[in-house]
This record gives sequence, C-alpha cells and structure tokens, in this order.
Amino acid sequence: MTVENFRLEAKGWGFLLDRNKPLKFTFDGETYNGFDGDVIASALMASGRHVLSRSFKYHRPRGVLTMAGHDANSMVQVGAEPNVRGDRHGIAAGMQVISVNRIGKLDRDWLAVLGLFSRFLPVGFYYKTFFRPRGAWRFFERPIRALAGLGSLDPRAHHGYFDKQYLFCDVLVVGGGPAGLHAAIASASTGADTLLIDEWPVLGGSLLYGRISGSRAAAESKRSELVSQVERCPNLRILNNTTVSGLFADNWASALKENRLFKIRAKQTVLASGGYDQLLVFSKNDLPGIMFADAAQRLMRLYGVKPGSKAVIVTSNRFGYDVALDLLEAGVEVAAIVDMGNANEAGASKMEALGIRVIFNSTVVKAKGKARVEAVAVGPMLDRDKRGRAEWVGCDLVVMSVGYSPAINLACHTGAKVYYDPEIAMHRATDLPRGIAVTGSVGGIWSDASIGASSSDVGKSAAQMALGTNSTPVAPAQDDSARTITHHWPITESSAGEEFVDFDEDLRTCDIDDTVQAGYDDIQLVKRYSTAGLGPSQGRHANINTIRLVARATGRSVEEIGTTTFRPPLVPEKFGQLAGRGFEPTRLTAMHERHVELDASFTPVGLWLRPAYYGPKQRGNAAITAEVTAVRNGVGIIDVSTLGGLEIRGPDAAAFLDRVYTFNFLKQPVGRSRYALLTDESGVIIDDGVACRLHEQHFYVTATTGAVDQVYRLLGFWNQHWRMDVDIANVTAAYAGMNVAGPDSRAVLEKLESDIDFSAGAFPYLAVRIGRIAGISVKILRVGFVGELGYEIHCLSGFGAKLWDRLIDTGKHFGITPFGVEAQRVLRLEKGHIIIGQDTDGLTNPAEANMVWALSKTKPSYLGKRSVDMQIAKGVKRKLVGFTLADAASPCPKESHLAIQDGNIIGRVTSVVRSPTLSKVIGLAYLPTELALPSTRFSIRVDGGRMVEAEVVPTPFYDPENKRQEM
Amino acid sequence: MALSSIEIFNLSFLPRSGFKGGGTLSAMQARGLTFENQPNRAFRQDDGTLCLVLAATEVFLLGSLGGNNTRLEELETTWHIEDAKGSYLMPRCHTHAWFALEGDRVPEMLAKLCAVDFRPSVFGDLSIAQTSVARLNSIVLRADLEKRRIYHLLADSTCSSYMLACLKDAAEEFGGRVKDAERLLS
Repeated sequence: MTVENFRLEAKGWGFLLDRNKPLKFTFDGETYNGFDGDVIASALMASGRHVLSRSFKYHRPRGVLTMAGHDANSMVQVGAEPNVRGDRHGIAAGMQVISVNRIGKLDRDWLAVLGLFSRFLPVGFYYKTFFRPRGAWRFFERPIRALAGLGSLDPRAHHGYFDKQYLFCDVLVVGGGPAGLHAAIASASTGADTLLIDEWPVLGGSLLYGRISGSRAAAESKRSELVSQVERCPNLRILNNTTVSGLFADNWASALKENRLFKIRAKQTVLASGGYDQLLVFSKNDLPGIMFADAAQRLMRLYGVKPGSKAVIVTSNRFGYDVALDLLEAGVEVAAIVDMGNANEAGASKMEALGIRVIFNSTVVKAKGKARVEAVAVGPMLDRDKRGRAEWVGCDLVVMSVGYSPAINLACHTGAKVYYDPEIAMHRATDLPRGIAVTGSVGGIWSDASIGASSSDVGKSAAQMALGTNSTPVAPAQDDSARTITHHWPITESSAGEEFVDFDEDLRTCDIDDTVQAGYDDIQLVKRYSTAGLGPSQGRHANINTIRLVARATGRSVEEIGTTTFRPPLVPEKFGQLAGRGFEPTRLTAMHERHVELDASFTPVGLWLRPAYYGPKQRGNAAITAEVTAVRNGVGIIDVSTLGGLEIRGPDAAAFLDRVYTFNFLKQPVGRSRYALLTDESGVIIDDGVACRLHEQHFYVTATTGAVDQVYRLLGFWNQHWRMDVDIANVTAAYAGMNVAGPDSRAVLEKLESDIDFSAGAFPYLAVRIGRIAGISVKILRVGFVGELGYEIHCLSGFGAKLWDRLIDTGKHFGITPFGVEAQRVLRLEKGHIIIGQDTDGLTNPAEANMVWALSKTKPSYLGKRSVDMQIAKGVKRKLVGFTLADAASPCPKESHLAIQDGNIIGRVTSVVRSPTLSKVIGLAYLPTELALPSTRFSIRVDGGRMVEAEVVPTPFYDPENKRQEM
Repeated sequence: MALSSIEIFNLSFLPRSGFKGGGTLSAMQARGLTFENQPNRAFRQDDGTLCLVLAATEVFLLGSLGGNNTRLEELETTWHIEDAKGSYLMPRCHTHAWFALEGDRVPEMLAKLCAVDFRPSVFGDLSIAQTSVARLNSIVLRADLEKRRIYHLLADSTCSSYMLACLKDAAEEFGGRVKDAERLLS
C-alpha cells in the first residue's frame, strides 16, 4: 500500500534503528515497511497509521500513549500470541500483526456504536444486569464472551521453548537510566559483584531521548560517559531487554527476558526504576495523537518517527519545554506550550525567543477529532475545578507532561510502605525492607545535578552492606526540584463527560464519582467496583488521578485516601515463563535398549519406563495373552530392575527390621527370604517387599517401585530416632533385576555356567543364594509373585544387559519369552497376590486386605502394631475378596467400578482381568465384611451403567495348593 | 585456562566407589585416605583419587582421571562385612553416573538447572553441593585440574540419558557439546 513517510532521516533520530535492514510486515493484512530495531507501533506511525487499537468498553480509537509498553493502547496480536504490546514488540520480516477487540475494520469498528449507549452502561453495570429474569444469562453469555478479551488463543499454536535461570550477585540494580548507571558504577567500583538490569535494548534511560538543562548534547555526552564507565567495570554484568517483574523476601527477584524467567538472588537491591507519566484528564483526552512527552521523544530519538505535524504541549514541568525543543528540531510546528503554572521562566523565555507561544496558568480543557486529535481548547485555570474561557488551537499532536508517579511497585512487593507527599504531589516509598534502596526519581530525586552524587552514594552503600564493610544504609537524599514536576490536580471536567481517567477500562471521572456515590468510598473498593487500575496497565497512569477524584468525592485529603496495593508481577508473565523448560526425570533400566530392540510398548511407572508388553499397541491384548501363556506353560523373563532395593547392614540389622516390618526377622536364617509388610503408625499398609538375609548383619530388602523412596525416608527417620547400629542405603539404581519364571525356568538356569545348585532340594522356595551366573555376580531369590517356579536374579546394573542377553540366548531352546508389566499383572492376579497401592488405598489395614497372616503374633512391636491390634480387635467393616462373574459372557468390569446392592454403593473393584489361563473374568474387590463370604452374589456397575452379577470366590484363583511355585 | 564454550564429558566408565555408615570416616582414615571431617568438601589423594566427604557418615570416592585406581580396587576387594566397623561399601559405579563439565560459563549453564550458586568466587575448588539438578538428586563437585576449572556431576545412573540430555540442552546456548573423555584425561 502507498503510505506517507513520517521518518526523521537526519543523524540523531532513530537511535535503535538499523536503516540498512528494511523489513516488511503486515498489520490487519496490509503490508507495512519498517527497519530492524523498529517496534510495531513506531513502524505503523512512520507509515502514517495512528489508530492502533480499540478501547475495551466503548471501542474508541486509541493510539500511542507511552511508547514504553506501559499502556493498553498499543495491544495487538502477533501470529498466535495475543496481548502483545505493540510499542515494545520489535518487528520482524513477514510478521503478521492483527488489531484486536473490533468487529469490522479497525478504522470502522461496528462496536464503536457502544459509545452512544454509554449512559446505559454505567460503572459496575455488569454487577446488576444479565442475571434477571432467571435464566437470562444463557442468552447474554455467548455475545458477552464474544466481546470479552483482547485477541484470541490459537490452540494449534506451536509450543515455545521457555526456560529459567538463576542469577546471583552482591548488588542488583534495577534500571539503566542515569540513576541506575551511577549506582551500578559505584557499587561495582566498591568491589561488589553487581548486576544491572534494564528493560530497554540499550542503556541510558531518559538520557536516550531527554535533555540535561535543555541540552540534548549534554544528555548524549552524559550517556556516553556513563555507558563507557559501565563497560569498563570488570565486576558489573548487564542484562538488557529484561524486566524485573517481582521482588520478594530476602531479595529474591524475578526478571523476564524473552522466553526466560530469571530467578535472582541478590544481597542488596537498588531500585532506580524511574517513574510513570501521568495523564492530563480532559474531554476526549484519549484521542490518537495525544501522548506523553516521553512517548513523543522516544518516537523521535529511538525510532526516528515524527509524531505529528503541529503540536500543542501541555506541561507542568521542565520536560514539556525540553520536548518542545525536540519537536522543533524534528520540524514539527509547535502551535503553543500550555503551562499549567508559571514557574518555568527560563524555558518559557527560550520558547518565546524562538517565537513559540507560551500560555501560562492554563490547561487543555477539551479536544476534538474523530480518529485523531484535530484541535484542543485551552483555557485558564481559575481554581482547582474552574476553568476560564477557552480558545481552540488546531493541532494533530498533543504532548502531555504534567507529572509522574514514581515506580515504587517493586519496593512495595517486599513490604515497603507508601505515602502521598503533598509537597511534591507524588507518592513516596518508606520503611524499605532491609537490603532494598531506592534512588533517582523513584527515590524523589529529579534534579540532573543531584542524581549523580545521590545515586552513587546509594550504590556504594549497597555494595558496602553486601560486602559486609558497612551496615548503615545511606540517608535518603532530598531534592527540592521534585516540587516542580507533578501538578496536584491535572483534571478538567466538562459537560461532554468524556474525560478518561483509566484508558484500559474506559473509566471517566463520572464513573469514579458514581462509584463513590454507590457507597464504595474506600480506595480498595473503588478499584474493585470500578475496575480502575485492573487493566493491562495496572493503574500506572490512573491510580493517582483516581485517588484524587475519590478524595474530592469523599471530602478527604489525598493522603487520607491512601493507595491500592502493588502486587507482583509488575508486568505480565507468560505461563510459559512460569512453567519454564519442564524437567521430568526418566529412569531407564540397564536393559532398556534390549526392550527397545524387542519392540516393547512402554508404560510409565513412577519415573521409570517399563515394558507394558512386547509388540505394537494394536496387538497389545494378543501380546499380553501370549506372554501369560508362555509363563504358565514354558518360561518367561521380565525386567524387575525398577523394584526398590535397600541394604540394611550392621549388627542391629535384624533387630531394626524387626521393629519396622510386621513379620519376625530376628531369627530369619541366612539364605532365606521373608515377606515384609510395612504399615504406618495408624496401621495402614504402605508397602511390601521381600527381606533377604544375606549375612547375620546384612539384609537386602525389596520395596515396591513407587514407594521405595518413601520407605527409605521412613527407615532413615526411625534409624535416627532409635540410633541402632545399622546403616540403611537405597541401592535401587545399583542393581538390575530379572525374574525368570515358568515351569522351565530351572532348566534355563541350570544350562548356564554357575556355582549355584538350582535343584529343588538345594534351592527351595523362598531361599536366597549368592553366586555367579555366566561369570556375573548375582543374588537370586526364589519367589513366586506370578505363581510359577521362578528365580528373581539381581546383579549390579552395569552387568544387567549382559546377563539378560545370556538368559535370552540360553532360554531360546526353551522358548523363553520376555513379558511385560501387563502380563505380570494378570499372572499375579490369577495367583491372588495384591499390589500395594492398587488393591490397597490410603486407609487399608492388614485385616481388610486379608494380610493378618503377615503379622507377627509374638513380637512386642512393629510400626503401627498398636493400631493394627486395635483394628483387629474392633473388627473391620470391609474385606478384600476375590470374585468372578456369574455370566462368563458379561462385559469385563474395570478397576474402580462400583459394587452396588439395592442401589447403594457397597464397595469397588481394585483389580480385574479376563484371565487367559482360567478363561473367565477374575478380580478383587472391597465388600462389606458380612458379604465377604464365598458364593455371595453382588452387582458391579460397568461402563454405560449396566449391572453385571459377580460372585465371591476364594483366592488364589490359580494353583491354590502352591504346587507350581514350590516345585 | 579460559575455555569460552562448554565441554561435557561422560566419565561414567571410570571407577568410583563409596562407603557409608557411622564408622566410615575413621575406617577410611585408618585405611590410608587423608581428609578432614568436613562435609561437602573433597580431598585430593596422592594417587589422584578424590575423596568426597558427603557427611560425617559417608564418603564418595572418584577414581583417578589418570587411570591409577589400585587404591579403589583394594578398598573394595578387601572390604568384608565382618570387619566393616560401621563402614559399608556402596557400589557407586552402578548407582551414579559421572559427568564432568569444563568452560568459563559452566556456572551460568548450571544456573539453568540448579539453584546453587556455582560462581567460582563462591564455589571454590573442592567444594561440593548435594542438590537438585534438573529435578534430580545430584552431587556437584568442583575439582580443578591445575588451571582448568572442572565441575563434576554425579547423579542417579538410571537417569544418565535424561541428565545428559538436560546438560546438552542447557549448554547449547553456550556452544556446549559432548566431547570425548580423552580430551579431559589427556
């Protein structure tokens, strides 16, 4: 498209631009030109586009206000990312930018008609409407949701890469303006490891665009000097383009840079975060073309954009005169300078000498224009609320510099108090927490002459405190020039009623008055009822004027009104930044690669990845059945390395186990294993395993995959209390484990070279042997979790893959079949073995789970014994029972399906499978004790609400005489 | 020696061992290791072995990078539970993977994975941090090789693939890459 060019080409304009790198991007589908270094707003304005967005409520046209990312006027959507602040977001080649919150084109938003109905949409109207008559909400909801929000989320958007990083320093300086630079240099020069963080791409703050004593050259010179010093400081690190978003206890600061969240630990923090421009409130003060002085200067100096052709400047301080000089230098006609007072004699004289009209003791009372300001009415200020006869001055640019609000937010995050100082018409921070200091304008220092010395003192003091060479903070500096910065009442109302206090929410002065009239006269309530300060700019430009209006409406002083609470984050933090990279440790067994080669389908078990079965997912059921059948009829092998392993060693090892687990261990023979059940103090089952006595002073105890860390902590805790002569070590990672199970398992092992006698007599059920297989040191447990003859072989994990290979090779002759967790679940259920955590819950005691056989009746104590004894004595209300389905053709229930009787829930299924061995559905379920009798019928509600009949049967379902596992 | 990029070495093939229990420190000293009862400090042995004192009840021994590991072998093979005296052998070769990191910007890189301040001025030679790295319990040791600043990282061996992936990912922006261990050992 053909556009006008508002670029300033001469040297001194467009500091951030690389004009050798032109870029093209689109805005609402139309192509725009810009340069590398441009932000969206600057590139659009350079092309003559001044309307960037539509306001939230009335859909009024809005343009550049701050050029600092502090306002909602320039919010756009970039690709799939909504809520992008167009005045800080750099352009890129091919970038697609879309304006938001409109129906139709941005310049002809159909929803602008809402402004005509503003009298029917008073402040807080949504609290009182849409819910009557009953059921009305469903009619309103859809259109309201369509109108709400700025931009849209794209659920198909690509995942971004976000991460976090810690940073450590002695002194953190926030803000790279003159105050921050002085403080950082002083801190680093004192010897402190100093970190300087600035939100702009280059250091300098106001020196990048402002003037010192009216001189741009002096500001440039000062910036060069300071930056040069900063770059020479060896122990000064700089983070540009980074925003500190929160400050927390113990000087913990969060900062954002692109897709990274920094977590900063500093001994001392110096805040030199500057201030936020404040609005001049007058009728139609939100028209595009009306902006802050800093914004106009940034547009010109940083981005080389002429903000207008004919300007009116309204000011209460020296900065208004500075920007007038900049505008003149840029070739902008200055129609008038409207000075709200008459104190700036030097500046005014200079302007008048240049032929610029200065109108003293006056203000802008209204503006006119549609998509851009066309003229403003200027009238004398007769008293606080009364204005004299106004005259219209034509312009397409209004520059406001009527005061600031110090950026004390970060100090307040850590607990600093805020008070309003009527002498300077600004807030100040006081009662700063230890380790926090403020300097520059955030500390009330506005004079160019004072900033250097006072900030250096603060930086040096912070460094000394960080290094421990001094413990007394420097006394706050005073600066009388602060009195001449901010006007105490920058508000003019008229009958037009379009005086906006908060642009984010389209709040006018009358809305604040109405809020107070409605009874919400506390500033915190005003904020919540009116939503003043709740929008994207978080009250940066609205707070103080809101407070002033509440003070007027309630007849109290601004000091009495107080202020709302500054809470982190200071700037929006993306969920991606908060989430970071996401670390999810994954544990792999020593045989993992073997399972991959065997085409295993993996399932997560805690942090581990275990083979669920071998083969593709679509053939999962068939694979499981084949694996079960192989174990029952021949031999299978499963990787059980994930089983927890604990070494209990020392003279008191047996006594320690005896105190912890429910069985007897004192007299357990060496070379034997014993079931080990663990309950907590309340008698709840928390784990089980097998305790193998390898030596008089040595037990190797297994624990369940998911609970071993908990068991290790618990055992360590009690060892600390009891101070027994025993050491406990978690050696889970050290050992690989594989269970060779099935009637042919003995034959497989006997075929390998070994010093262990595997015959039934020499190596009976529950025995443990230490020796070598295929040259590898092993310990072997004869246990029968799957209900067949089986050998659980443990070796150091470094030898796991080698041993697995030898077993597979040797077992080929017998058709050895690797089996996964799913087949093991079936096999163990056929055998009636429970899984702690699946067949037990957070309240299950041994009596309920039919585990009384695992409780010692002879020893005086074990963990939870008192509770278990009480539960047994009292009697339990539910029991874990085995069941089958009365009708074999019934659908198979699932775990957690409910047992129902007479319409009441009486229990639940904990495990259930269709057994390939028994050719019927078998399962475990909790039922009331009185129903836990064989042959009792009950119903299970399965998927779709269908009821199936089940019958209680004894367990185990398979080989109740244990002949197969003990063969 | 300054190294602008980060180099990651997988030293898991090298010997390492450990002992744990109330009598460990005295037992180890009796067996010829020289160290002080100062948890979270490492001590160089004359044969190049590094003795990491993790607690008053535990030491972790890293074999010599130079290849002389006679002492470690002897400590392991001569240990018997009968005369353990409260000092129990730990199979550290199998419990922990061992990585080494070299480069000026390793502290910055580790700051992406861990909350501990590893800046050289704070985390001196032979310092130990038992901490969480990439959400995994880990031991970080700084043990310089003459003027080369080396950080060692010991973590659950079953997570070695995960940890290596995390290290490579964190090191990428610093030009980090996995290098042949020979480069470190030479």
